[in-house]
Order: sequence, then C-alpha cells, then structure tokens
Amino acid sequence: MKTQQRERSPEDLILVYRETIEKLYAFVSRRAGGSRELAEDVTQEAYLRAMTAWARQGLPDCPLAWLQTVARNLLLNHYRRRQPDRFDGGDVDAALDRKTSNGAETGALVCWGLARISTRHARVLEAYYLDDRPVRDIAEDIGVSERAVEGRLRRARVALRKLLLPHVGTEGDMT
Amino acid sequence: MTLHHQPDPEFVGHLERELQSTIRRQCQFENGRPERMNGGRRLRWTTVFVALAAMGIGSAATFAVTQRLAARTAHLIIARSEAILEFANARKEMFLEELREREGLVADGMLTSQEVDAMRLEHAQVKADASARALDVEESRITGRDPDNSLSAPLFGGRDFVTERLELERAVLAQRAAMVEKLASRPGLFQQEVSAMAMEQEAVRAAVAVVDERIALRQDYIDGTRTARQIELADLQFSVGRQRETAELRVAEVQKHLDRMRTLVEGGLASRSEARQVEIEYRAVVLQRDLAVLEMQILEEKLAGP
Repeated sequence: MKTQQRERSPEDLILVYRETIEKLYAFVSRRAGGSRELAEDVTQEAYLRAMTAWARQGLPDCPLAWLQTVARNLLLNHYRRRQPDRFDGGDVDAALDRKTSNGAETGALVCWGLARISTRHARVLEAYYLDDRPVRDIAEDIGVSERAVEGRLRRARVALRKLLLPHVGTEGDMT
Repeated sequence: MTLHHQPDPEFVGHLERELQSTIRRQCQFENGRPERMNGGRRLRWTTVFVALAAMGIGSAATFAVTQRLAARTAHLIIARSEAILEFANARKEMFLEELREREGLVADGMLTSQEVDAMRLEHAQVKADASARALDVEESRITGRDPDNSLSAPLFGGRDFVTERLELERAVLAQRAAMVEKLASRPGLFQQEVSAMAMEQEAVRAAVAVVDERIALRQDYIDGTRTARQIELADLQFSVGRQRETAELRVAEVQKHLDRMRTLVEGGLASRSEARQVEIEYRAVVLQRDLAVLEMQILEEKLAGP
C-alpha cells in the first residue's frame, strides 16, 4: 500500500480514528466469527500499530484501507495459529449456506479458511460471505461473468471442505 | 450475516483515550530526537548505483588491462574477482536494506513474519556469497589465478580456501535448517504442510551431510591420508548416493500424496484433473529416482574398471 508523507498533528490522528472506527470495527467483526473480544483486540492492535507507523511515515492516502490491511493480516495470523476445534462434527455446507446459517458460524469458518486456502479462492469467499456482496457485484469487480464467480465460489467451498476434512470428525460429517 | 457489527461505545471511548496517550508519548519522544532521514529508498538506489558503477569500473579496468597488459593475466583475474566482490557486496547491502524495510512492515502489521522468513534466508545466502567472493579475491591475489574450489586444491599462503568456502556454505544451511525447523513446529499445520516440511527438512539434512562429507574429505587430503584421485572419486560417489536417497524419499512422499488424492477423488472432494497433476508429478519423481540409480551404477562400473 502506497503511503504518502503528509503533515499530521495529534488532532488529525484522532480525527482519522473517529472517522474510521465504526467502519474498521464492522470490517473486523464480520471476520471475527461472532467473537466481540477478538474483534475488539484486533481493532485496538490495528490502531496502535497505525499510530506508530503513521508517526514515522505520515498519514497514508487512505487510512481505512491501511487499517483494514493490517487488521486482515492480524486476523489471518490469529486463524493460522488456531486449530479448527469449533467446527468439530459440524456440517460445512450448512454453515456456508447463506439462508440457513448464522453469521458467526459462517464468519469463523470462512476466516479460518481464508488463512489457509489460495488468495483467489479466499477473496471470492470473503466478498460473498463476509462483505455480503451479491454475485453480480463481485463479477463486475473482478471482470468476469456471474457464472464464473459462481464457479469460483463452488471451487472455493470444495477447497475449504478439503482443508477441513482431516480435522473435522469423520468423512461422513462433511458430506 | 445476521450479526450487528457496531462497536461498543465504551470500547470506542477507551480506545480513543489510549490512542491519545500513545500519541502524546510519541510527541514527547520525537521532541528529543533528531529528524529521521528519509533513508530507505534513497539508500537502496545509492546502493544500486554503487553496484552498477563498481561493475562498470571493474569491467573498464578489466578491458584496459586486457589491451595493455595481455601477458599479465593475473592482473586481469584479480580485477575481475574484485569487480565480482564489489557487486556481491552491493547486492548484500541492497538485501539488508530491503530486509529492514520488510521487518518494519512486519512490526506495523502490514506483512506477516512468515512472509519475511524467505527474505531473511535469501539475505543469509547473499551474505555468505559475498564472504565467499572475498575469499576468491584473497586467493587470486596470492596465486594470480582463478580460485580453485576442487577438494584437491593445494593450500595457498598457508590458508585452506576450499574449507573456508565450505564452512560458509554450511553456515547458511544451518540457518536454513533452523528456519525450516521453526516453520515445521508451527501449530495447526495440515498433513500436506507437514509432509512438505518433512521433505524440506530431509533435503536440508542431505545438503548438510554432503557439505560435512566434503569438509572431511578435504581434511583427509590435507592430512595426506588420501590421494587427490581418491578424494575426488569419493566426493562424486557420495554426492550421487545422496541424490539417489533424496529421490527415493521424494518418491515415497509423492506416492502418499497420490494415494490421498485418489481417496479424495473417490469421495468427490477433488477433481480428476487435480489427481492427474499429482500422477504426473509422481511419474517425474520416479524417473528422477531411476536416473539417480543409473548414475550410481555407471559410477560403480567406472570404479570397478581397470
């Protein structure tokens, strides 16, 4: 992410905080699998790192994007360190069904997968499940057809199931 | 998503107070600190310029010497070694600067530590390469010839440059082994990652064994317990044997992966094209293993011959 050297005062930094806190918290919370504690820890850590980095380098062009990148990496680190114990015996397909699942379950599952599957798959899962974006919008963003996005989503779900297979009960639980 | 993603006002207030306090501390610190140089990028470009200039000077020097002093090959060789050393040093500095920058990004949370591990290892390799090139220059200055890296090279000026270069190589491998060990001990690794780490650990162990064996052979030559021909043949035999062992281990690993993939295909969790890719990989490693076996047989025939 490009960072421009910009004059900043302590007041500027606090203004940036006030402008971005709700959006950043929502971004993190959607990825925290329903854990308010995790969402607050990650949000706080992202701002503390920002204050240190911005004091050194100046404010970036888009502080929210900067904070989101840091928060996303912090979450990825968190999920990389974590075993998938929450999903024991669970049905991944049901958890990934937008109509029947609850947000926390899907969030935890998708975030855990985001840390481990390919970026290509992770991005499409993230957009669809965490940012609640319709297939049409995702297709426009990445410049492919809606059908191609649906294909990617299907393959990403298969990749996630494959990842969880050795960790979630027996094979029967997964199918 | 059915959750509300609004922050708790108490949390928002608490975090704001904490940030204000952090900013105040930073301001106090900055007031007593000299202004930081905008060094990163500038230094990197300076290093590139120095590297290119060094190469240019080295090449120009080499060309001039060739024209004027055709008979004095030694000067040419030394000039070339020095130019290569300059370039290796400049490359080392560039890597160090880049590494520091990346480590800063890790501290800021923009990169994960794992993303920088590969660069740390590369930096160790580049650093060792620069040290080896410095040894080349010293050797060329003594001998007036290109560095001799064969196990049967004589000592020059009382120094064993071959062993010194091997020890540098070993130090980098030790660092690589430590890094692979660290990565392999991360919690929550999947079976595939564990297998990949095990293969990498085995590859590093094999490489360390080859270097250790070469250091021992070199010592035998210096001590006079084996002739030059004996140690060169032993060196060849050992490295071909190691290639074969590594290839056999790889075949076993890919075989396991292939079996797993076939199970996934049967359960509808992997496509046939994915399984086909693993089958192709398996065929390739089997061919590599067969090739290593043939190499070994050819060498044994040669050693048994008149």
